[in-house]
Amino acid sequence: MSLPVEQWPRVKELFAAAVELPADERAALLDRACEGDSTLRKEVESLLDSDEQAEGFIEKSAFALPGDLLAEEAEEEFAGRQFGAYRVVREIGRGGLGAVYLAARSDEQYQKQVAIKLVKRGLDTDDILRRFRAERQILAQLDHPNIARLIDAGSTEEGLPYFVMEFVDGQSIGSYCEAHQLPASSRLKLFRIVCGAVTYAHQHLVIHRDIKPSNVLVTEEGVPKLVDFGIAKVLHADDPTAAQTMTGIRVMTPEYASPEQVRGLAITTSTDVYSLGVLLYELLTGQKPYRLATRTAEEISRAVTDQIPERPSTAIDRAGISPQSAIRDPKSLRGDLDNIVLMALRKEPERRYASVEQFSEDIRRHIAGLPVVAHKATLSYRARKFVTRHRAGVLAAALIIATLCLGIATTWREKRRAERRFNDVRQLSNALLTDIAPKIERLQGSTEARQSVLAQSLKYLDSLAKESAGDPVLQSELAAAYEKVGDLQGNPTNPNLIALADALKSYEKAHAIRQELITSDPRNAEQRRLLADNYRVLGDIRWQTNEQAESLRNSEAALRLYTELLAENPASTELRLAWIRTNHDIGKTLSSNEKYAESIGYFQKAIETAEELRQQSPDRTDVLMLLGNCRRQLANSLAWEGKQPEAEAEMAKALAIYEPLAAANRDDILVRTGLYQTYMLTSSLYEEVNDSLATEYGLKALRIVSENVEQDSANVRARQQLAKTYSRLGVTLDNEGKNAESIVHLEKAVAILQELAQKETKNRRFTHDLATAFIRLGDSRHKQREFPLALADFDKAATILLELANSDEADNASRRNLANAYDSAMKTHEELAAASAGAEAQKHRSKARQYAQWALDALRQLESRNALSKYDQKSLEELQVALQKYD
Amino acid sequence: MPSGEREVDLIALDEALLDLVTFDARQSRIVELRFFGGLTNEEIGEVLEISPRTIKREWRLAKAWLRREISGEHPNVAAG
Repeated sequence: MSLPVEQWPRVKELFAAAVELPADERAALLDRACEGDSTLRKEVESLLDSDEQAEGFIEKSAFALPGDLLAEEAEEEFAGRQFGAYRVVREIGRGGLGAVYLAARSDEQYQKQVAIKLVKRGLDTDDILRRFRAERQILAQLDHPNIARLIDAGSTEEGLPYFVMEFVDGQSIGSYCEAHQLPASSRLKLFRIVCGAVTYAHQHLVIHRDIKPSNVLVTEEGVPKLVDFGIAKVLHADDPTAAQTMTGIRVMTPEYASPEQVRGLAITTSTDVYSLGVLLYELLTGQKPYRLATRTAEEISRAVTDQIPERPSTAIDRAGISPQSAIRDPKSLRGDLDNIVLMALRKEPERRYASVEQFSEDIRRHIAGLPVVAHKATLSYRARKFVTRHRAGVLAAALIIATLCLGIATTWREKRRAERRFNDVRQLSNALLTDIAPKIERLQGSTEARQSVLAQSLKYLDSLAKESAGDPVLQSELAAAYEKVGDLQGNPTNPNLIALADALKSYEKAHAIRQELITSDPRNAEQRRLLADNYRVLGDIRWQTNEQAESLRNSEAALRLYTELLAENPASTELRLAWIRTNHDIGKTLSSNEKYAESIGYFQKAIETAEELRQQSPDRTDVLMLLGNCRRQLANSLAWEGKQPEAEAEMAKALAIYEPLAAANRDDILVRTGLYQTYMLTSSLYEEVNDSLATEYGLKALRIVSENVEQDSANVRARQQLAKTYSRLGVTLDNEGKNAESIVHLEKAVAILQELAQKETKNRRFTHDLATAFIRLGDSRHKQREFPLALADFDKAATILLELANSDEADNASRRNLANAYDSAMKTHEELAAASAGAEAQKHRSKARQYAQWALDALRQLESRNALSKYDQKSLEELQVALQKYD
Repeated sequence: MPSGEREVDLIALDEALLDLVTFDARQSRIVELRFFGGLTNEEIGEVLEISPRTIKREWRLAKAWLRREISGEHPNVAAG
């Protein structure tokens, strides 16, 4: 600006004064006012000049719609003006479309009152009139007490189109409800009447498309009437040539537009369901469903398509004292009504109510206290949506790569060109995978969509691999892509073995590539780190698939590399984190093979370095989680080594980390799982030391995992954890002597595990857990003196475990548990023997002897493998003593 | 076709608005609400709590100023 800013108010004043005046008077005014200040005068004059040419400048708003044209320019008074057979009485109001006038037939004064809606410039009147004539038949048939009839349409001399409609003497439904302080129940009744009208129209194949509070008028007698039915279609139809906007969005009224309208997709009756949903939301809460800060086109379209509206009951609570104090009864809103409204507001048309009638019915059911159809949208649905939305992008990129691969030309020049494009696309593809992967990991999500994305990506990566020889940069990228795919395959929420095997394959492919790269460039630090990362993940996957020895080898290789790299680069946080993780992994592998003493060293080293990192970055969630994990594992190992007080102290530290972390990160599934696992280990820590505490922690774990399952019932891992938790509680309650309760929990665990095992017959973990649950159930029943039932359980457990043991030489855990099952059966038979006499007693004693022998045999097998732990040794000795008794 | 109704360079407009907001935040807000938000003067009046008449006045000047900025026709260009 040429003038100093302080002068701006003066400029404004002068402009405002001068702009209304004719040219000669203008000059005079400026002469007087500017008093020789030529800069000021020039400024005002240039603005006045600009104003002359700015009539149409930015008058059409950015996502300009026909319906959004403002009747600004026309300040003209239409009173008394003739529109066809009608004479305007007065202006009633101005809306987005234009001005609305009250008119009457010029021959009979007050007998037939109509409303005339005048649409301002910018539209092709002929098109509108043509469409109106086409729609007229249909619209004329709309004869319903709650629909304002569209009577006629025409155009003025100036070529402005107008609509003649039944006049409704009323106010908008929002104002009406407020003015009459209507309680929620009355608003619902009113709303249902509106639904009835819309249903009627739908039956006559007319979609409103622009339902909003100002289009629903209510008369003084309380009769609601919908206006502007069908006008939206007439006004701009789905005609592609109609008013293309600058941003390409076609929206009627932004806050009420449905996602499909915002995206320019097909409009269906479901669109009206949505708009009715918005209307209902406002009627019940006094607020709009989406929070918009600036109302720009982008923000609106984003909000409508992506923002999840706040539950009406929450919105009311949050608003505090709402002006509509009559409806401020959040209790009546919570639950069903919340879900009903939200269901109508779903982004996908097919996820909403199938019809307005259904919507209205559900409301009726709610009023009547009956169960409703609407249900909560689950997290898995959101996850699925997320993946499918990005799937197109990933596949597109992958397809491009494939095309390029196949089409890589033989000539050098063409190859270079293809390579350049290749790079961009490859980066894109990688970026998409990187972008999706961490998000999917953290969502409790479904897997079908993910699987197809992965399958596709793998196909293309494999073909890329063929072309990559001799190009180390490309090869490294390829390895990274395989690893990313592997991450997604080795699906943390559904650890089925087939997926894990796939993940392993992908990682092995990456591994092979990385080994090659190191061989040709051994000093490359980056490549060495990537290889170390690869080793670490291989170790982790193998631990999950129970290949313990292999797993350890991989983890140790990783540790060696990290140690080397850290020596060269001691300050690197990422390296330190990786080093800590690997120590933790090794510790865990050792623990699960009962090598507790050895594991302790690794955990302690990990903790020491993790604490250092924590000092540096006290708020990093990943550091805190790692520290928590290490501490709880250390606690576990200490307990097994008989160091109970130290174990308890250590576990307390783990909890002190995880509990606040979980509270601060409620939606983070990884954090919640971490807390869950900590509670579970704490529970086992107190087992037989302080059983009521053990139960308490078991219940805490149960709360977390139950919520997870509730939110995503398809999540297999969550259900497995639930079963485990029930099983754990079964043990602690049993120890507390609450046998009946224990049995209840164990039966639940068995039920879940049976289901899971049936679905995935190859999953050894499920079947193993099932066997364990049977043993515990049997033990509980034994305590309740339900001996026959207990024996049945032990038998089932034994059958499963025998199979597991026989099918895998290296499976020590199964053998150990088999010994347990036999041992328990033996004890039960002993009890039965004691409780009976004569031949009966003899039968039981010989059975007891048999089981003792079998148990001993199983333990001996472990002995021959050097897999006997301290506890096993003790059991073995006890069994020998027991057997001697029989002999 | 009314004058001035051609495609607006939205980026230029955005930059110009960034300038405008430094000395007349209210006008800038009005332009935002009206052009980008599609609100009517009455609605803007409700949001900003000023009368539609004031809004009309501000809008007119804002348009004139913005148009001048974007078109590059500065008053001092020709000055000596």
